[in-house]
Formats: sequence, structure tokens, C-alpha cells
Amino acid sequence: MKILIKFLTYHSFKHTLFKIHVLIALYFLLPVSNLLYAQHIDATLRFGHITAENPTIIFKKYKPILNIISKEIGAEVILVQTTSYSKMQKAFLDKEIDIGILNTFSYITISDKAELIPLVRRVMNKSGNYQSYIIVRKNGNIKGYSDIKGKILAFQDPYSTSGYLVPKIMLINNGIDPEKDLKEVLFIGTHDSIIYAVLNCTADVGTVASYIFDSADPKIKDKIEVLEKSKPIPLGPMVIRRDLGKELADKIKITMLGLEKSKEGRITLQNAKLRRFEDAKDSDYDILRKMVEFLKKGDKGK
Amino acid sequence: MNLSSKFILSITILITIIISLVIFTILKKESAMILGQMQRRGFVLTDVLAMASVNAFLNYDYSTLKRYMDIVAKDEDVISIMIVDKYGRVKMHSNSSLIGSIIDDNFSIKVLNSSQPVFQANKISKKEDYYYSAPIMAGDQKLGIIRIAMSNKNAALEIKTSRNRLLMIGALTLVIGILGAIFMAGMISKPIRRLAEGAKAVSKGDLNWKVNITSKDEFGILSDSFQYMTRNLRKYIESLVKTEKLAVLGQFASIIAHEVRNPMEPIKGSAEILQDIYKEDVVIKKYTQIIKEEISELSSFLDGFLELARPQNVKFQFIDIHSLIKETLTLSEHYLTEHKMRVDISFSENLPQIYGDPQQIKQVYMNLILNAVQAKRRDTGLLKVKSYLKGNKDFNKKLVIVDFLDYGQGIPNEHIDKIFDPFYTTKEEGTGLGLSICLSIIERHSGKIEIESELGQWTLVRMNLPVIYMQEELTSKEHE
Repeated sequence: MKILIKFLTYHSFKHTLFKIHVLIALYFLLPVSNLLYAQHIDATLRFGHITAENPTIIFKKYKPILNIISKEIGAEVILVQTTSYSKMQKAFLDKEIDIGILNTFSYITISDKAELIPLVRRVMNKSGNYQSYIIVRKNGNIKGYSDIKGKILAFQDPYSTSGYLVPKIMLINNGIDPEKDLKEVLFIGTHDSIIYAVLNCTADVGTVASYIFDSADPKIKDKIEVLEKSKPIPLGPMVIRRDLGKELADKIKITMLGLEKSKEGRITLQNAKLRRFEDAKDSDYDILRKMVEFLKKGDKGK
Repeated sequence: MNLSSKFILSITILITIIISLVIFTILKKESAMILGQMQRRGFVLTDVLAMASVNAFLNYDYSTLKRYMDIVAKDEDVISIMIVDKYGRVKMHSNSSLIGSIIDDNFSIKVLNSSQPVFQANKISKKEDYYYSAPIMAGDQKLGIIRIAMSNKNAALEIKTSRNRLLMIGALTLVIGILGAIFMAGMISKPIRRLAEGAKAVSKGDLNWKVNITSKDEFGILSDSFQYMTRNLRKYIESLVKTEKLAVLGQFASIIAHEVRNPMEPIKGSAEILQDIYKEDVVIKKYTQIIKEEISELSSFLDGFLELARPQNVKFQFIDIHSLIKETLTLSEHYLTEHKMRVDISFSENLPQIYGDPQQIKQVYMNLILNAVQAKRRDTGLLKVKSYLKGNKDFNKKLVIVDFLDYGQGIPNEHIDKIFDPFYTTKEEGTGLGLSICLSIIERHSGKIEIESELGQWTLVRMNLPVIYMQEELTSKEHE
């Protein structure tokens, strides 16, 4: 599996002659890369990361962090990714994944059932929060919520916080029922793809995590307008299964919290586009739980 | 234009033509190959990208499409890549600012409308860019197309580099070829020039010119032939001069015959009369005797002289060589005994007769005997006379050969060539006519006379005379 993931990083391979080979390799890997399962090996810690972004980007961002954890605990740590958030949740529930980064919505969905301990929270800006953006094309005709009606909207994943949960509530609060008032609702899988989807007219409206939109290609951002921004949302936590023991959980937590203190750690954080990790508590996510409650009520109301 | 220039020019033209042809052919092939390779690469890239894009396209996974595109775009020849949906909307483009636009150029419309999952390569003439397109097929459903634009800039550069390299190799070959041609021209024309110089020199009369080409090729042979020619020419001219000399001598001799010889008999007669009248007078007797003797000597000199110049009373008949030799020996017997000269004879039997003047032949033998006696080194001397027949079955070409071999002083090498010249003598009392007369007599008989000698050892005079058969004789011999 490690080797397969490594193949994905070949885009940085400079030699032009190998491009065709790489492409062929990618072609054959495609069905696999859509659903990457780890084989169960006891000595290996399986690290899952929700597919907010393209798997290649995530692999690049998190491999150094995984290496540090691996060094610290003396076991191999491999990165596991799935094609959707629900599959990642299932993998946690099935104990196919030991540790990982979950998005907020996924966390609150499975934290009890999967017996997950929140370790740390990613901090990207000043705080460990981010926002959900509702984006549209600049040259399009959508100037406000009212224009969204009858358009094609792209959510990211049914378990995405900023790409589903939060924007859905925002839409509902502004009088738009995504299930009735829209021409079509798409689930596009990754935040970066949503930006492209809005750009290339696959969708008219997109919902995207602020940190991903903000770091997008300026040329692309030029053509995209952020229609609405949500209130701050806490970023999803790094979690570990309770059954792996407190000792391991503390060790990893301390390691993660200590990253910003060493030069090597800071470089690693920078590579993952993070400022630092901060202590995470389950109660940090209560605000989201309320949102879910709200949605559920809404559903019941129908 | 001289030979070398012609040679160099023709070689240069030849090399230039060949090099041009070779360069032209190679360049054409190489260009085709480079462009062909580029085209194949374009096809493969497009095809692979189209196949790889199906899943991502279906899943709206544009970031993955972008990734694939970035990899392909790293190829230096790729100008742009676009993924277009079936409606002509650009879903992904290597240039982000074009994402979302609609394409409506002829090529794209043609490709979009093509239901066949086949490649198309269009060459837009002005820019020399190549467009490759392949449909993105999910089963038999066409999702869209991949379009890759490639520039032949690198290929053109490669072709240019290759052309420059080829031209340089060509130029180098040409220079080497010309240098080689110059060298070869020198090698060929040098002996020709020397032969030409030789011919010029000979034409101006310098027969001693030496061409001196030692090479073992045709030039060597030519040079040898040239040398042989000049040598023979020289000999011929020398013999002409000799003949001329003899002709002058002949004229001179006839004058002498009339103007000198005629008064000699009256002088001699007068001296005899004086002797008769003054028998007792010792003084008169003494001087008349001197007159008589000198007149006799002068007379015999003149005889020889005349004989050489204008042989008279030549009476050819069939003669037996052996009896002629014997007669001569008998005549000179007294003289030989006096000078203690021994003569060994070895005659081969049954020699055919020769046709000639017996008196003249005898004169030749006498001359040779006298020469042999005079060349004696010691008190006594030895002369070997030998006769034999030489020749093949063809009777007409048979020769009777007579050798006179004496063991006297011999003749120095430098004199051998001149020994037959009239008035050439090494003896104090010689007239220098003896051997000249011998030569002219033998030549008159269609024979040859040769002299070989080893200084201080021996001298061999070899005469050959042709055997001439009468017609009846020949016929009878044939019948036998």
C-alpha cells in the first residue's frame, strides 16, 4: 500500500521520459486510489485522513507528520484514505483505522460509537477554527441567496462540515431548501475539485472550506466570488481509538503539541499548511452537535 | 587548366555532390523520424490521458484531472492540454484562466462531433503546432475529449541541430577530400610533369636527360620505356654520325686515290730507275730505297683506306671458311713464327659454305691475326681460332661463327665502344683503320662483328656470317 501511495507522488518526478509510464501507472492505480484500504498488520499504525483534498496533496502534507509519529512510537505509520467521509467513518468503526484526522461532522457522528479520543486540533490561522464559503463564478448571475434557486449546487460530501453541514444550514436559514429549490445537487468529493467544478460550470454554486479556497491558485480565485462566509467552525480533530490505550494516545498528543517547539517540527507543520496543533476536547464540537440537531429537527418537521 | 587543377576540381565536385545527396537524404529521414516520434508521443499522451481521466471525469474529481494534466504538461513539447465535456465546455485546462470557457474552433467541433474513439492530428500550417485529440469514453458513452496541443519547436530545434552537425561533417569531409585530392593530384602529376620535361628536353636534343621515376607502377614502366627510347635514339644518332663519317671518308679516299695515288707509281718508278742507273752509288741507293719503301708503305695505307671507303673488285662466291682461315694462316706463318705466336684451331665439322668475297674475308682474318700478335703481353702468345654453326632449324637464319680469342693485353672498357671508329687507335704506329675495315667488310657480308675483352686477360672477336643457300640447295635439303 505504501508503494502504491508513493506512486501518486510521482508528479514531482522530473524526468519527462517517464511521464508516459507514470500516466500508465496512474491509470492502473485509479480504481485502487479511489478506495485505499490498509491491510491489517499489528505492528503498523493505520492513519486515516478524510479526503477533503486530492489524496496526493494530503499524502504530501501528512507524510512527514506520520514519519515523526512513527519515530516516536517505534512503529510503522501508514496513511490510509477513502473516497468518501462515510467510508472513512466506517473504517474507524470497523477498526480498520487506528488513528487519524477526521472532519468535524464525521467526528461528532462516530466519536461515541467508535470510541474515539480527540487528541489535538489543527490550527491554521490564529485559531483552530475555519469557515465555510459559498462560492460562485464572478461572471455568473448569482448575487445573493435568492439567485441560487434553480441552480446547480455542489456539496463536497454528505458528512462534510464546511462542504455540507454548515452551508446547508446557511441555505435553509436563508430560505433555500436544497432538496427542493435547486436544479441539481452534486457531491463532488474534494474541496479543491469543488472550486474547479464551479469554475468549469459543472456547478453554479459551491461549498468549500475556507482554508482550501484561500490557498487556491490566485488565477482561479480571480474568477470566483465568495458569496457567503459562515461563522467560525472548529477544525476536525486528530483522533485515536480508545482501545489502543492512554499511553499511546498521550505520547502522540505530546508529540503533536510539541511540534511547533522544534525546527524540524515547524518545517513539518509548515509543509502541512498548519501553524500548530492545539489541545482538543470533545466539548469543542458541541456547537456542531447543535447544528446537527437542528438539521435533524428540520428533517423531522417535513 | 593543368591536370592537377582538373583532377582537384572534379574530385571536389564529386565529393560535393555526394555529400549533398547524403546530407539531404539523412536530413530528410531524420526530420521525418523526429516529427514521427513527436507525433507518436502526442498520440500516446492523449490516449493515455483520455483513458486515465474516465473515472475522475465521472466523479467530478477535477483536482485529480488537474494532477494528470500537470504531469503531461511537463513534457516540453506540450503547449496546452484541455479536457472538454461533450458540450464543448472546457472542464479543465492547463491554463487555469481558460477553465469554464466554451471552445468552438473547427478542429474542436470536428473532434466533438466525431463519435469514433479515434485520434486526430491536425497540423495548423502557420504555427506548426500539432493538435491531438482523443475521446474520453466510459464504455460506449462519450464523456468528452482530451485535447493536447504540441509544438514542434523542440523538434525543429533538434532538426536544426542535426542539420548543422551534418553540414559541419560535410564541410569537414569536403576539406579532407580536397586536401586528399591535392595530394593525389601532386602524386599523379609529378611523374607526368617529369616525363613531359623529359620529352621536352629530348625534343630540344638533350638525349642524356634522365627521368628518374623509380615507382613500380605504370609511370615507372613509362619512364623505363622513355629511357630506353632515348638510349636507342642516341645509339641510332651515333651510328648515323658514324655512317656520315664514313661517307666523308669515302669521298676523301677517292680524291686521294686520284690525286695522291696516281703520282706514286711514277715516283716509285723514278726511284727504281735511279737505282738502276747508279747501282754503285751507295748514297743514291740508300735514299732511293727509302723512297721505294715509303711509297710502298704509303701505297698499302692508301689501299686500306680505299678498301674502307670504296671497296673495289668485290667478287662474291661460295666459300669455305676453314680453307680461308688456313690460307691466311699459311700466309702469315712466317710472321707468326717470328713473333712466337701459337695458333690453336678448332673447327666444327661440316660447316656450310658462306657467300662472300674470299679476298676480303681473308683480309679480315689477317687483320685480326696482326692485332692478336700486337696485343701480346709476353714474349710468346696464344691465339685460339674456333668455328661453329649457330642457329635454329630454319636454314635461312643459320650463322657461321668464327671466334678469335687471344690472351693478350685486352682492351680497356672505355675504348671498347670506339674501337671500330675509323682512325681510332691505341697503338703508336697504327692507322686506326684495321678494325674499321673489318667492320665494313663483315657488314657488307650482312654479318656482325663483336668484341669482348677483359683488360689484361683476353680479347674475343666474334664474327658471324649468315649462311646463304642457293634455291636449288634449299629445295634439295628440304627434300632430304
